[in-house]
Amino acid sequence: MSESGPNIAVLRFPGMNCEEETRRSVLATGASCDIFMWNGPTSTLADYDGYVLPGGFSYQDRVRAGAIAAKDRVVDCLFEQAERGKPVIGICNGAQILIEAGMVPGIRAGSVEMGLAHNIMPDRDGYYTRWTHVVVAHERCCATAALKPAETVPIPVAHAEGRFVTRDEGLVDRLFEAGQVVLTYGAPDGTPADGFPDNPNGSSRNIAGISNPAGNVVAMMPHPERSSWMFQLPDDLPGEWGRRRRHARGGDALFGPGPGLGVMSSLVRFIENNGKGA
Amino acid sequence: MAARHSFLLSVELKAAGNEARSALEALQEKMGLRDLVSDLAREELWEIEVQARTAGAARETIEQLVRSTNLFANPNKHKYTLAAAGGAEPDDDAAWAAGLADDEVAVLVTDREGVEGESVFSAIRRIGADDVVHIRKWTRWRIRLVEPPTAGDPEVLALIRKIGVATGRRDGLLSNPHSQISRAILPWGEEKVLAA
Repeated sequence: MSESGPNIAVLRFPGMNCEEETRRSVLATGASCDIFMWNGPTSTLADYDGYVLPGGFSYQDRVRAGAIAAKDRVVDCLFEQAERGKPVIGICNGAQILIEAGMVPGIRAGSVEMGLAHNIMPDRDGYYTRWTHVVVAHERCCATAALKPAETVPIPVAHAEGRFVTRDEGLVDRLFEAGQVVLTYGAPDGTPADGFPDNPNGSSRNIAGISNPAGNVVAMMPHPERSSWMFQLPDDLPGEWGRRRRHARGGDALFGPGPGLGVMSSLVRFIENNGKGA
Repeated sequence: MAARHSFLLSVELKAAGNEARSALEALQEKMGLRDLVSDLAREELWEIEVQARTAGAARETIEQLVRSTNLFANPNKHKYTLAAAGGAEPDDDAAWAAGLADDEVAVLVTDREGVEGESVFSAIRRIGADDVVHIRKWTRWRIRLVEPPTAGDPEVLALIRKIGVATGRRDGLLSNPHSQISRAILPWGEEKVLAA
């Protein structure tokens, strides 16, 4: 960690398309940030204090979203760094990679214990994007360390395969009990989502993000880099953040931090709390 | 009196498939199976059931849908075949193994809830094809092995599992057992459930 703050790598696989926005969001926390190419020198990956896998379509979602990238050599290195305690956040396609690589939920690290299945939505199918209200279900992980328990955070989703599923009966209960379900979909007032559209994909028990047992690896479907500044929020967003957005109209506050920045701030907070190399 | 007639519509790219190419590269280079796997092809198999008086009428209904909609195939880039299938499950009919060479095994994959087939089914019902009563989409991966598989060799099934079902960071590619169902078809006609 440099004096100016931690140094974060945003891993870019071929077909990803959110790396620049994600980098800008990380930089807004005061951290340093580089985009690290999937075929870059893996020996230098260990130089970073934390990692973000951004959204997009790695390998064009061929075979299955995240499936091919999960087999890349750079993910082996990422796995090693995560085992050392360094934080890793996977956003959308990044989450799909972490799930396919067995890094999340990571009860048996390296074993594929869940899947991200096709969205199930009434009267529609396929790719779906909308603003969601994500509720902090557990605040001791690297994506929520700077957020408050039960805080409601508006963040958009944009995916076709975002429904957390498992055939391991009882696993979801165990994840809730262990505090590994860190983000859930809610209504604008923070109450649990009662189906579509507050739960945008039919995810089991409104799960939006899951961590590994140590809390240093998180797979989340919503895109925090798309709500990192107030001006990114829609004018008609319901809830407290929507009220703030409308109040900021036309002023400097429009360029102030948005709700999603809290996820990146959490990554930095987690590193500061746990120290370099964790 | 009308009865249910089952068909398998196989759709394949006319040109080399990028998706199969990427999967092969992942198996050979990222998973270290170059000495065991020599080639890979990918088809979409549509399991379609039609309520009709005769099998011929049912076949005509499907062919009409394929020709008049772009839901299954684009004639500029896809080729397709339509074969009668005995039942709705893969192990009911040899059509699922059609075209499999002696040195090939097939892995069949579909999503657990049949979401992809359901969306096409809904689209077809919206355009008034009420005689179509069931659609499910499968992906059939035809895997050519370096050593032709022999019946009863336990290593063959172990290899197919290593290719077909994602169980770990380094093992399995073609299906995720939590979100997908997968089956293997061996060249001598045997079928094995990989992930139920």
